[in-house]
Amino acid sequence: MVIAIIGVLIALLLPAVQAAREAARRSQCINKLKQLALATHNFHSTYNRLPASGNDPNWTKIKPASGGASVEATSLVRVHYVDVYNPIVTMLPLLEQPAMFDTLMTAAKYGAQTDGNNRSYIPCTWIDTTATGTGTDQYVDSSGNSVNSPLRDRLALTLCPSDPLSNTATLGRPYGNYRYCRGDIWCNWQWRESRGAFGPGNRFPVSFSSITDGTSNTIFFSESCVGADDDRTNRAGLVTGINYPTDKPSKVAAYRGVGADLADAAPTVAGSDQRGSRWADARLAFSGFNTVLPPNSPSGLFDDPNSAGGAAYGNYATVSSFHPGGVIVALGDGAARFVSETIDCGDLTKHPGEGDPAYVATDPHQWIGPTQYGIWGAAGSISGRESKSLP
Amino acid sequence: MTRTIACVPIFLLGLFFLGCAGGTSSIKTDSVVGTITDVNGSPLAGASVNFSPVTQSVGNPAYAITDQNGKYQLQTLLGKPDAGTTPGEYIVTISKSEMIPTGQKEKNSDGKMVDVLVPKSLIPDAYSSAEKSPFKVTVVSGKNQFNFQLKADGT
Repeated sequence: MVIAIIGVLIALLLPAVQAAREAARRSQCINKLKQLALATHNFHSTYNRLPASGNDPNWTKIKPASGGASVEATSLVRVHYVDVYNPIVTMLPLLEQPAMFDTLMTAAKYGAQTDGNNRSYIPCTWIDTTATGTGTDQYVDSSGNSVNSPLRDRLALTLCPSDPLSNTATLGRPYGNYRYCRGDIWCNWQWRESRGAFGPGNRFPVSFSSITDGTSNTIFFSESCVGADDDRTNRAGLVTGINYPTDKPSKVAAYRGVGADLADAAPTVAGSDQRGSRWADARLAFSGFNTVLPPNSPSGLFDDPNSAGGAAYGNYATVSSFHPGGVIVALGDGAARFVSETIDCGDLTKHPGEGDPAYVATDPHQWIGPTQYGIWGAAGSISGRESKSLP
Repeated sequence: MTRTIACVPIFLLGLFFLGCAGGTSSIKTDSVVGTITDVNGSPLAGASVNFSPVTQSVGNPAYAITDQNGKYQLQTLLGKPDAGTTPGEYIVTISKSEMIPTGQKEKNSDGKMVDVLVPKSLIPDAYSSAEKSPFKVTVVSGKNQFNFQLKADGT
């Protein structure tokens, strides 16, 4: 009798243990996102602006110690290096990583160009996983030696403890779960327009005074699961073949399958540009997101027809997590909270900005005004004139 | 004493089920299915189908992708996938396009050179525009079936 009762009690306790573990991971995740939001405040009190998602002046305006032009002036020659450093890299000294920041800053000061063998002087954001290892992930230090970029290693503060893949050491890539908000649009990372708190530094400087919807109503950071090669799970799945500007967000949403996987009709699932596979890279596939599709939907990838050289892909980057039922977001006032995957997303069969006076059908990212995408879209935009609070 | 101990698991069992009530409130949706045939009369596979409410407050935006036989099954964010949508009047837009190379090259995110692609619509443009689309339907309670035949002049 007593053993039976104890048995029942243990049986009752076991699921609770698992739930408690997830609760612990979740509060760790909340803490990390809160740190990112707080770091933006410290950054703002120094520079009177938020860090930029790529082309941050702190990096691109550095002039080489030996003289010559800054990266900005030569960016057409050497792209995909300091110009893609994301807000987390720019805020490293404020996130207890001053040593890594110094390494990057020293390299950036040393030179913006390549040496005689076309090797870079600036640390890149990726790891070269090809079998031959052509060394594109190495840079040349001031003594002329090839050195591994510090950004090709994973950084604990960018990893959500609930994501089983990003924490797996064997995969080798510098995975990161935490992402900056680019607002309720779809865009290429380097486009001028941003509706969110972070945009390209050469075109879209944001300060707290430009967040007219209020920092308490504006999302700064959130999280996304990382993807393995050809990942078909909704949490990390990437639907390719989305055509800008004809396709609408609903096309990506329609690939939500029954259960965990993308619906079978998915055209292709990208392998090379895995989602979240570079924690330091500002491009949307790696560390940005849009508040268009609800949490735990697939992301969409389109080829950017307006790009001229040095372009990455455009994205509907969506947030996702292994926390049951939603994701954690960090708001501009430093609060972090849970957002359900059933949050109101408005009308996904409309283009961002459709019906707005500034809307251009051939270029539907150029617009101002209130969001199309419900509370989720309102929380992602900084000045949409909709001060809606998250539920 | 024994009875008191026996009560404990029953009490805990009650606690276990506490909070199971409620859950996600699901709005009742009605099934919407159909087939899309292209200008030649053959099924249109892989096309994106959008149902946008004519009046903002009546109905819910819904969408689907057609399968190999040109069949679609609508879904919204409200219910489970393929659950359909709520009754109301909708404008239906359909789009399908492919990416074709322009002959130019550009750098991808690893700095490698790849083809520049531009989208090309595979069906008449009128069907993808909410203003020009000839298809307007009314979803009613129960099962709905709407088949769409595309024509070269977009009517």
